[in-house]
Amino acid sequence: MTKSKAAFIIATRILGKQQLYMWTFTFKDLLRIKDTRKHWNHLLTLLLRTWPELQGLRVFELHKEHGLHVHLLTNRRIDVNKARELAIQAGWGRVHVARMPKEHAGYLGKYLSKERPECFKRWRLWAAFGKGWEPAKVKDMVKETLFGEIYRACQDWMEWKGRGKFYQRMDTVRHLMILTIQNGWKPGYGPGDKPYWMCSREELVFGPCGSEAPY
Amino acid sequence: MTLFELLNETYRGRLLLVGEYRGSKVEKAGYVDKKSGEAIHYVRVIHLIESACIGSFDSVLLYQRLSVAVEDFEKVIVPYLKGRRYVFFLAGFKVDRGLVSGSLAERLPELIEENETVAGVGLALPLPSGGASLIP
Repeated sequence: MTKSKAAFIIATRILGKQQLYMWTFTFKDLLRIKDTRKHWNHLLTLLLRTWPELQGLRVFELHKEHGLHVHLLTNRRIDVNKARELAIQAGWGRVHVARMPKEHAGYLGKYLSKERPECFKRWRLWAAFGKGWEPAKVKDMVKETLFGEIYRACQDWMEWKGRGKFYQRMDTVRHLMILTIQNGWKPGYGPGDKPYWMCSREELVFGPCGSEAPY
Repeated sequence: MTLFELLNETYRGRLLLVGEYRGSKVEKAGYVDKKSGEAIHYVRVIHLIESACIGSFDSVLLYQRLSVAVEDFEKVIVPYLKGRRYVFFLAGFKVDRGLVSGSLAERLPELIEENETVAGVGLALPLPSGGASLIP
């Protein structure tokens, strides 16, 4: 799971306190991706002008045959006929809406797991809109993994700051990760639950058949 | 899995890795939102394997994501034996600065029955149906 997908799923949880509605906007004709985005910006402006309290999330999906689709998740009911009128005004074709239980909101996250097409480079595959709510952001996501725990322990131990010696750091953390699994150590600690700084150099190297620690 | 079955799987082109099992770590991995405190968790197992993918000795990390139904990672029991050789079916792998890591396919790792000698395998094994000889 990527950070972006995790942030999206959490954002749907924040948004979906009550009932959610999933909208799908498509075009009759196949358009260029950039044009589709322009049409989307136009439609969003119209939607927010009509319903200023509208809150939600949008996801871009590049369909195999039908070009770019936009999926929208909103937490309030809006008049579908009015929305269709606005969609036509902004140059969109088919509009579909369905109720969605909040537990299924993560469904849209599957589009974020797909391999990112090249034309989406530097695009936000999903984004939140509307005032009065604080969606989850990718930068606020903290990853909890064995690697992360060991990295943070090493960071404290070796006082890593900034981004210098990136590869050396990665090698060190991977090395300690292998030792942790092999010897059943507590994550972030050496043998006997000792913090790394209390361990001797010999304790933090591989056994007789392995290579030495990279530091 | 017998060596013949292993050869058969290899012959079919399955993406697999044979290695000595060295240990596992079950972890509750996931993401936490610093602002709202909301979290997403999933349980996965990291297996450490000794293999000879690139050099004569390599540590390989294989990630196995468990079903969402598994919530308590402390109750997960890893049934593999240290020091025994297993075949791991892979969904994908990568080599990053000499470290091989991969993710396991749905098929579970299988212990290799090593009663036959390796030299004996090539000589004694019948060929997979319609196959050509793998031995020069």
